[in-house]
Amino acid sequence: MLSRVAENLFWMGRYLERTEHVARYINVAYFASLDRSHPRQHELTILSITDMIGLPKPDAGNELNEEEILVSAALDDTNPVSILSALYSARENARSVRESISSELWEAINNFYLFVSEYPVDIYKTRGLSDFTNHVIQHCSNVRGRIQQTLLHDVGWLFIQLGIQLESTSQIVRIMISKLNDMSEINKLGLSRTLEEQQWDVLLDCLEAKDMCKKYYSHIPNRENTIEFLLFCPDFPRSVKSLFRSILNCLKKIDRKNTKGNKTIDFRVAKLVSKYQYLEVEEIDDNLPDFLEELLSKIYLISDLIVDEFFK
Amino acid sequence: MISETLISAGDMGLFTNYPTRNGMFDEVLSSRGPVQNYYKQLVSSFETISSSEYQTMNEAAKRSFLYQGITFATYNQNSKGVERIFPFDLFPRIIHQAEWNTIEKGLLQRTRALNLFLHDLYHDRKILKDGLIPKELVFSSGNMLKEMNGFTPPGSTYCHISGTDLIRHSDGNYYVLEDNVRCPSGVSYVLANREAMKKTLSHVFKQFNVSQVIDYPSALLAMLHSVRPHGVDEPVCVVLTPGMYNSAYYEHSILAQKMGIELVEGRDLFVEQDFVYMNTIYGPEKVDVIYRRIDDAFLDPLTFNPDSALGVPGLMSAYRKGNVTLVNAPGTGVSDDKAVYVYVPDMIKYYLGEEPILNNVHTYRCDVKSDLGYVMEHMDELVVKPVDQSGGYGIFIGAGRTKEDIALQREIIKSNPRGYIAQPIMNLSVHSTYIESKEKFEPRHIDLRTFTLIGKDFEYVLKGGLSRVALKEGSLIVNSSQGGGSKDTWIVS
Repeated sequence: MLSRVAENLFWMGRYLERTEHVARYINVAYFASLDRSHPRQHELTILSITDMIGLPKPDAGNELNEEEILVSAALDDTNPVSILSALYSARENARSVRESISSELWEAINNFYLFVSEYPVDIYKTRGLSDFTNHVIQHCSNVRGRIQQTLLHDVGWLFIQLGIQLESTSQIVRIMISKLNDMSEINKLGLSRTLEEQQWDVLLDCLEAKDMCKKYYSHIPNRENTIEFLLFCPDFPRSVKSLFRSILNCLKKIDRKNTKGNKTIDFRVAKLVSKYQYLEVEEIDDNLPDFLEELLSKIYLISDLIVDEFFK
Repeated sequence: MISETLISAGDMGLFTNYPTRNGMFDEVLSSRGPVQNYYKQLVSSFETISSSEYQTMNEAAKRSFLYQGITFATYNQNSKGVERIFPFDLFPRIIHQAEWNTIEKGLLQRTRALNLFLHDLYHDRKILKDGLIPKELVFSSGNMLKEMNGFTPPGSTYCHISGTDLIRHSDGNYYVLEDNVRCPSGVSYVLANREAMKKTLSHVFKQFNVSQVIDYPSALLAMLHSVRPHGVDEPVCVVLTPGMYNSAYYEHSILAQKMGIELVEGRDLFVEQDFVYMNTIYGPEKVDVIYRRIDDAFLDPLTFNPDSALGVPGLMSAYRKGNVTLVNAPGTGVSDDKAVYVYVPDMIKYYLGEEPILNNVHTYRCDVKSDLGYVMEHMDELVVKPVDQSGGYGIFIGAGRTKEDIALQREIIKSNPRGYIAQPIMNLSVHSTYIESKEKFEPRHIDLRTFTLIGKDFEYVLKGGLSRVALKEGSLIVNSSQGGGSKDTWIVS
């Protein structure tokens, strides 16, 4: 496998995963905030969307332009973190390796891009938010199905998985950070406990984890079980613990023949993440924001290690 | 020789008021023999389709090209590029198998002769010594490469892939318009057009016994294998592309995919000890055969253009050592020079001892005094072409031009006579083509890009080729870069 091709597959996976998380976050957070019990709740959500996606913070004091923010998050090709831009990058990466992937996968990604790039902005910002984001999520699972079913599960596929898993881990942590911020804002406003509790629901929904979390604990989600589930549940594929395990497995398989350096890449990455396999929620609950920031910086470090090892 | 009423004016349909003009060879109306009946059958099938139904089909076909990403991008309006599809016409062109057999023989004969010519030119130069081709003509070509002197590529093949352009004249015969033996493109559209055709009009397609085109990628791979370097059993073959912003990138990637080989860019390759390697995640892997889709000048910055970022430093040295095969060989451009073209029929007689099966279009060389005199006097009856360009660029058609235009073109030719040839305006045949703005069929000029493969003990001609259409009314220029479209081409038996 050419290094360039491996790199394009890795980034294709990352951008596709990013697209899905952004779409799901907009969809869940926006509609949850419409049942407002406090007038500032909706505004907080819009700010939370800008924060999670990484849009510039709106000037304090100015009235929020909701439509503008929602368009910028999804369909603005000049905004490098919009859904359209992430998808454009995913497609450019796929296009540059289209001889290495199946036609079915390429066409799924291409159709996905055409759907997003042709979506009418006027409809999106008036009545199409649900339709648009739901379609994006469906396209994502369609693409993921093609990745699973139409590619050889060889080293190229492992690089796509690696991209997807790494991006997914970082998005989960970013979404958690963003939601914790929201909750601290809610606390500052002295809003009700119920509203705070609803935020755990929203967080789980954003990661398609609510039903399984309830099932796992046989309990309504609260702070403790939500955090534990998303970070440490060994059976849920989108927990940080499971994703780290998958990342290590991929690296072990890829690394089989690589002899560069004394310590293999899977050894170095395992060293970075092994402690998360044995942490318990009680140990981190006191200082959750710092813990999540540190976790995020480790995820970025893993990405750098992969880039150095295979693509340079 | 425009015909009896094959199509009756007045019927409300796609062929309503179909224009017929005297002196124009309309393949749909003017063909004789079995093809005449095929077209009758085809036209009556199309006449059962209503205009709105046809538009739906046409849109669906266009959409399928877009979904498959068979597009080219222009970057002037938007940094991310505006993607366009090459116009595809759903009304196919038909050539009878018997007629095609002759064309096929002619194409192989011509490509064989060009290969023998190139070998001669880079070795003994007998044809020059025997005075058949003027020395100055060859040595003044910018495409003659001194790096190829004395070197024989595997199988003595230089032009592995030849894209010969044919036209059909109003006398009904096929003529060679030009040879393309550098990096001829367009074959991916043959494959894509056939797929779109079958899916959109299966009920029409299945009525005919059409030769397949899908065997091209495997033939191409077999050819690449046949010219592997000496001593290599299982060659690693790759397609070398300038990258995805190249207008033919779709073709490069689709051919690599269909052959199941790597698509590489110059930056993926490097040369060590005169062997070529590609960078893989597990380290270097040796490459044996490179189907390169970048021009000679960019192949190797150490030998040719030193600024080339597309090529591979040291590639020519590895090539000359016989450690890697380049397809097509460097330096073939001297044989598809439009002034050298004039001599191809002579080459066929000289090297093969055969009469040319396919004729040239009569060509005036502006560097020959008597020819130049004729060209100067008859500008309004001629097409003037630069000897050295492709894509329809720089072509001057005298008819209908102002005196000033013609005078200016005369000066351009006189300043560089070796740079130009002229040909009589050939009456390119026309073919029924759907005109979107008029919602009906009209005749448009067409030509045929063919694809011939030659390797070591290996010969293949793609059955059919790319029929290119000049979509502008009256236009003779079919190149896609100049607003041309294309049609599926059926070899029917």
